[in-house]
Amino acid sequence: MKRKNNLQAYAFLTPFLVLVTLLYILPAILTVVMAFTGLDKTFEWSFVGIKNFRRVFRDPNTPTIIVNTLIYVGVCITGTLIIDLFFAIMTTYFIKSERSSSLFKGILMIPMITPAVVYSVLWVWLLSSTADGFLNKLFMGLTGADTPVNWIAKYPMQVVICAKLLTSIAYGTIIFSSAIKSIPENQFKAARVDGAREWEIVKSIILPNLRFHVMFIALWETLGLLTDYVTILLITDGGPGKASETWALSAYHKAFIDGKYGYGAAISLILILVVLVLMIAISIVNARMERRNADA
Amino acid sequence: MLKRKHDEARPSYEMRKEHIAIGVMILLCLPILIIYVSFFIQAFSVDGHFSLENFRFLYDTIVMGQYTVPAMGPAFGNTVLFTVIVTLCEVVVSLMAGYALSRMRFTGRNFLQKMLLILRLFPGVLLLIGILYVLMYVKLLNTLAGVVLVAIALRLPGSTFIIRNFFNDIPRDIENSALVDGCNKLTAFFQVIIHLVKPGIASISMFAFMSAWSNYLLFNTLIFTSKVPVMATYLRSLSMNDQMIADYGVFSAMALIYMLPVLVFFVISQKSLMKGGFSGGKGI
Amino acid sequence: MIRIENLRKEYDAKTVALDGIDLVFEDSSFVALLGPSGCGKTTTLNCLAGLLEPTSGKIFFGDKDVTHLQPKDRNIGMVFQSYALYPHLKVIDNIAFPLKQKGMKKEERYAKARKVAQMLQIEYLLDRKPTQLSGGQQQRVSMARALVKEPDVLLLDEPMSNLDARLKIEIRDEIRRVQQETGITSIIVTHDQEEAMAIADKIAILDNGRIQQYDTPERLYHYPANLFVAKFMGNPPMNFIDAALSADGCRVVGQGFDLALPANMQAGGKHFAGHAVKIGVRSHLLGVNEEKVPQSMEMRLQIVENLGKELLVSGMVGDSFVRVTVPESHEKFERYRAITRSDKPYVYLTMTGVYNIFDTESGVNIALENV
Repeated sequence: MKRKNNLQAYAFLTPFLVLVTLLYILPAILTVVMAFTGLDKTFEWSFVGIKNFRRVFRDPNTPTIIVNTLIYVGVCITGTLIIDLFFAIMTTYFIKSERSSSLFKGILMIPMITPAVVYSVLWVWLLSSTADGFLNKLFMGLTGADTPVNWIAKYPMQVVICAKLLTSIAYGTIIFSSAIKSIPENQFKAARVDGAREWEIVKSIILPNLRFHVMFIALWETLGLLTDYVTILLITDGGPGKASETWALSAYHKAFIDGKYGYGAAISLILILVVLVLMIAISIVNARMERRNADA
Repeated sequence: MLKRKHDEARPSYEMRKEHIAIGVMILLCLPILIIYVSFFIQAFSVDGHFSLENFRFLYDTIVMGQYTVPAMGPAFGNTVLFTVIVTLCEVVVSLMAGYALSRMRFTGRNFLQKMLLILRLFPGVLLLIGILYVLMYVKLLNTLAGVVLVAIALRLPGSTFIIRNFFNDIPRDIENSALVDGCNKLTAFFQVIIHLVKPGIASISMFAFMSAWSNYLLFNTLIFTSKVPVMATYLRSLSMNDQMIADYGVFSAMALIYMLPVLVFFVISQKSLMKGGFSGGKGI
Repeated sequence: MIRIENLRKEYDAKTVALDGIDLVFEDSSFVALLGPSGCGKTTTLNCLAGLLEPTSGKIFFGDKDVTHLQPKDRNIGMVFQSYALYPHLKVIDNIAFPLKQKGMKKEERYAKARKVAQMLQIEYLLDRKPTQLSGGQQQRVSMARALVKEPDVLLLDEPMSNLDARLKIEIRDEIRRVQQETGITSIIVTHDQEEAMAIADKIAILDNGRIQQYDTPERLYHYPANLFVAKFMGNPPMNFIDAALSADGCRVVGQGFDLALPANMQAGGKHFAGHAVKIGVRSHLLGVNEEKVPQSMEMRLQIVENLGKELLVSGMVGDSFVRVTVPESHEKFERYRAITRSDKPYVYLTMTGVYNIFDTESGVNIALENV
């Protein structure tokens, strides 16, 4: 019986296991191994020990990249959390009408669903350096300046942060919004009867109820920001120079542009270690959230 | 306009707050709409006049300066093919795995459950270098098939996780009832259980569709030739061309065609997208 | 006839759900499996259904060993606690579902489904979806689905625990009527002793994976085999009075009483001579005397309540709390109240019907002890 059960179950699991093993687990192992080789476009395995890692830390660009990454992640996370909470409270707590609130959430989701390639061109067009550019027209019209600004070249970090922020608003807003919805109405009624003002209701009822969700979104988005580089790749490609290069993007550049796969793998591996720590944190938050839900 | 019946029962001071909130939200959402509309409106204008000239690429090759724009047909076809296969396979494979993980008893179940939790959180993009090597080794580099497999695999843990949770929510009694009523495990699955996870299937196919249709990175990293164009790489190479970008008309017309299916899908599924399933999303 | 022989079910080394169950279900009988949650009653039912495979032991339907058959090969009908209707199918398709699995043609299975629906008075629901039904209606539909294939056995897993009190009685009578009409051997799992008493021909009481007693409702009520059954059966619960058997085993002695054992307990009394015991007696089988009489127990009166059709008289016999019900009479009510308030608040209880004595340590009923 047991053997029959196993056979049946693994028949169902085989496609999943094959794909995941070949394209998830095997690449993970390969990445670890490659990080200690000088693998390049010739695909010859030559073990070089920790040379790659030493190179990473000797690279004069590394400090810039680390600072960029920290700024990118830090500003995006702070911005996302504040904006998400604001939008969630607006569309759920203040706007009770289901139709208008889902209309607004729908609009906020548009940047998220726009294909990355189109989204990046939208920004390039918006910030075009010519006098005809959308923002330049607005800028010159409002300030009376007579020379157009090359926004992307001048403020690359600010641009990629704004672009990324806009795409990440929807997810957190929706998560927070459904969390606010699940707060028992009685809590609000009791607070109102006790004479609490709206700001106090937000501070003493909504935010405490959302603390696990905030932690979860903060960690989850950090994970995404650290590893997902498509937006930057498409808008500035890390430039000008290394002005908007982040850690994950530099791994991509080293491996897929320069063909230094071993070196790229080493950079990735360092990031993977950071990611593992974040994953543990997420699991802890998840477990706590589940325990609280079970108690309630 | 946005009033519903029970609104009338709410106190007027709350309605006032709601109206202020709606006003603020309109102000904040407006810039997004303005930017999108102004961008895509260019598709319908040539030299400031309304024209469909920009859509000529749909049936004719177009020349811009010294540059001939390759036809969009193959890229569009590949994108459709890619999206359909990836979505279908992802749904089928994650349904099978999710069912087994949720409902079957077998050796190694606990281990696989834990593995799923880890893989769901682990960002597959970080492994692209390793994946490149695997594809090269099995001679699938530079092929659509290779990218299809990778696209499915990278999203699989997330989808399986979502669908497994849907399976977990099915009452044991219903499954037992089907077995008592004369089904075996297989017929119970197809006649009863699959109908109960329809919302889950809808949700994962939605994410699979959106992510497959928009995917750029996998084609950029795993296909080195221009022989297998998809809409993402096609538009990207056009956007890198100075002559194209001098006038956004044609590009915005193409982008509109590219975005249309996503928009349609989005409008259809927006409600369920907001309700459930969001919990596991996020892939590349 | 259905026979369970020495059935064991272990989930792992530590959790033993069934610890050697032996049961026989006569044809066309209605049997209830009764017990607190976790006692093994649902496990037994699931083994009968084939949804669980027992660790050891055998199950026979007639002469056929079905222990390792799949549920679909046993020709059983089952009603689940949550009704387990298929939400995507209309009521008529829900009822006809088991017939569809047998490959029956559409017209034929719809005709049969209609007939069963008629019997359960749910024809007007046939075109609805399960979500549009009330709890009671869902329950009837799930009965119809279980009956439509004319099963050899009908298994009911807590079928009424999700219904409100009034509906419970209605559905209970309905189930009993249908069972008598069809004559299908039926087995119901329940934790509600009143429900079991009302519906079943025989009741098996389980605790800790073992059968405590398997008997008719009447015998269970009056002659519980042990303390567990005695505590479980009957509402209001049985009174238990702490006492001890005398050294010669002929008398039962406690604080304020010294009674001679009746004939049916003498053998048992000898066997347990000197043991601490509990006298178990139902509240309506005690009489209240205001003066001391022979063969009586002294009770310190505490509360007298008028419940309308009877008086509830409560107090202490020694250290045991005892409740007695006597037919209502205003006169008695006033008198007992006066006694309660007096400085000698004592009355004297006599046995007016069946009572039992249980060995405190082992819990067995000494009257049923064969020595």
